[in-house]
Amino acid sequence: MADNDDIRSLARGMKHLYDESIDDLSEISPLYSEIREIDNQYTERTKIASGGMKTIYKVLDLKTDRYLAMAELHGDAPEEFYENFIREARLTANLDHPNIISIHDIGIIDDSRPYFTMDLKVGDSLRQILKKLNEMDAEYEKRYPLNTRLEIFSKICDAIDYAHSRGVLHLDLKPDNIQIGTHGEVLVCDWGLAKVIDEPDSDTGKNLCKLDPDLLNDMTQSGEIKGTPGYMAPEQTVKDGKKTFQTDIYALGCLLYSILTYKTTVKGSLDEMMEATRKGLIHPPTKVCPEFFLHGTLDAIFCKATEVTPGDRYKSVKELKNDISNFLAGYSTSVDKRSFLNELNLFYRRNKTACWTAICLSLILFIVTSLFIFNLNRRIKEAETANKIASHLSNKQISEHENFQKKLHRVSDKYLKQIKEQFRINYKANPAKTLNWTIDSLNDLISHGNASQEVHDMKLECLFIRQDLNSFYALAGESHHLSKIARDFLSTETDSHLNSDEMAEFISQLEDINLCEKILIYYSAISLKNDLLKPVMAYLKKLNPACNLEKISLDRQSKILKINCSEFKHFINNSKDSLKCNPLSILKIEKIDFTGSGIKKFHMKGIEMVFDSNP
Amino acid sequence: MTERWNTRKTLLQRAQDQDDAEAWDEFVFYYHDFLKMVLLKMNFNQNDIEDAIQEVLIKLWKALPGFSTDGAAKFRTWMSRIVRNSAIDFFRKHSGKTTEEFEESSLPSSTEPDIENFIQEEWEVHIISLALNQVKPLFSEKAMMAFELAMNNESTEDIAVKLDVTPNAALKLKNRVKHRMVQEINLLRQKLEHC
Repeated sequence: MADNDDIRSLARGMKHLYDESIDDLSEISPLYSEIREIDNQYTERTKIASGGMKTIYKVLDLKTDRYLAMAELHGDAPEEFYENFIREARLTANLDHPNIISIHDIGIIDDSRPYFTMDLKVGDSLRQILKKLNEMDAEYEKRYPLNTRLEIFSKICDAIDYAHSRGVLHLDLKPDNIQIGTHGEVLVCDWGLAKVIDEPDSDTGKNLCKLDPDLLNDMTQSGEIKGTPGYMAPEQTVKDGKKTFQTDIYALGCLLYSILTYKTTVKGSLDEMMEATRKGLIHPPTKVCPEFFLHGTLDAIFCKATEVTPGDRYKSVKELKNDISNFLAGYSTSVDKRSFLNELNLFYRRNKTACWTAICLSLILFIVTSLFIFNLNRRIKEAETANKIASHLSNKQISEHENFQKKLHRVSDKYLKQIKEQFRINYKANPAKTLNWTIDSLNDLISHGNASQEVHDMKLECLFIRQDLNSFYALAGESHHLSKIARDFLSTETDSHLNSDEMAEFISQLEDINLCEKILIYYSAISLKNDLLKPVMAYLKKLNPACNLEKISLDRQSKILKINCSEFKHFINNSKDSLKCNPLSILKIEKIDFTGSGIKKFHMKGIEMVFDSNP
Repeated sequence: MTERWNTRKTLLQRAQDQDDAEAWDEFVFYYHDFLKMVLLKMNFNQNDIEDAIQEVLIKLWKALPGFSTDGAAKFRTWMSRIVRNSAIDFFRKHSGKTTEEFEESSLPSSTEPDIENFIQEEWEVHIISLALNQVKPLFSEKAMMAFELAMNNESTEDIAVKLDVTPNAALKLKNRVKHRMVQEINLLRQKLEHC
């Protein structure tokens, strides 16, 4: 309710509104009526700066409703300055570039003094920024690192390049005349010393409307020395020096120097500075500020821009700007030595991320490959070692095996010898048993892996002696020297011994007399006495090949052996390894009758001999 | 200009149809507070005030179709006469039961034109208050302040100092609010006083 009362009392105070019409123009079109009523366009004047012949004010332009800077000549300025003052404004107004300050209005105050209005500068001048940087102000250092400063420089170059294209020289470039806005806007100001040059064959800005040098140039003061020491070109330090584009390029070089080092190129008294400028006694930025680690290329750009002879400097601002842009972008500049290494270095600077990615990937690839190869090698080595160990082991086993085999051979040989010995000793007395034992023993040897030819041969011989011809033939095959005989006597009935006649034939076909002896001994042990005659006779014939068998006969009852052959010599096998078997004892002969044989003498223990009586 | 506001039916036009419930609601919304204020000023008793308002409202509602803007008849004049007459009727009807205080009121002795002028004046204040309530949320506090100070006949310079803005800005702020206020008042009058 209180609120309502307030409103009512408020409403009571404005009762005239009840009948007010909204047809009033100022109400419906306030801007229109506002501008229509303005008689003093610029209000709220506040002085910003003052110097030389003019004062700068901050003013509110009521028409546009914005704040501007207004330059006014001092009240006491002589009238001859008026023309110059307006000339600067006109010239600047004719330069339409985002990096050149804009002139909004030129006029006359109080029907006498001229003024012009321009953009109100916001932010800092480059000089203030460099000063703060020189004082190591942390905020400014963060806001204006080298690259940002070089970008600012690049924009200044743009402005001057444009002015040159319009045939205008600035001739007073210095940090004071560069304004940097809070959002990085760059404005080149104070074109008070600017000069329009008339170069008919200048190729820059052919299509642009050139400014009129006759109207816009400073007529009164030509020939005087003007500019700011430290930024003046050598040709500006002498009277009547010819000003060209290169004069501004020199100043841009000095600006670059200040941007890099926060210092001016030359120091000292005015004369000293002029002298140093004329002689080019300037140290390059890297020497002056080694602690900034400036790139050598910047040095070279600075040096090229500030050559004492204008002809040695950059041909145009564009060239200078391109070098800065190239440097910022990491490309080679006109002042760089063209070399592969340099280009490589620049390529790296341009593509740091890509380069590092490539390097890292290569490194990873290399490491992975190395690891792979390393592992592979290790495996191979391991395999080799394993092989070595294995071969070593197997060698050892082989040698052990060989040793064992040798030992076995030795043992076997010894055993074989024993078998032979036993055979030799026991065979005559007990042929069948000995033969069986010998074959078993030999089989033992064979089953223990000692299958020497000798053992085999001996076993075969034993089988042969036992007349086990089937076994023999099965074992020996066709290759044995006795195979043929064995085949001939293979009986159809297995396991049966040869009869008397067969045995006689068997013996007579054998060549080895020792073998014949052994067979006879065995045969005598297993056969009847009657059956032995023919085999014994065959044997004796073997012993005495020259003797005719028919001349030997036996009287079975008297047991007298009659030998009627002079060639008869042996009863007993005398060859090596003979068992000395006496066939006569097999036949139980008690008497030998040599009558008619011609043999006069023969001795044999236990047997009676009958010889021919002397004729 | 007038034609612009005529595109919509005014409240009075709608009230010609006496059975339009929505129009009645809106009518009550706009007149209740005003009548209360008027009747209070006429020294009506607090206990009877709502009854009195209802009776005056109904009388006014019934009279509305009879009003036309043609001729010299002004709505304010017409309306204030009806309100005055209805109030006096109510007063006479209830004079027997009313409190001593009410009996002592100077109402009957007041001259006709006085009361009517008073009602007319209250109507104007009522319209402006309605407009103020509408406009207030639309502007910044600073703008409203500039406007209110200007309505108190303070100079633009003083306002600028008080609000810490440039005189130009102060002037602009005031004009913007004032323009809107005039618009709003015109709208309300169109709606409530024309048919």
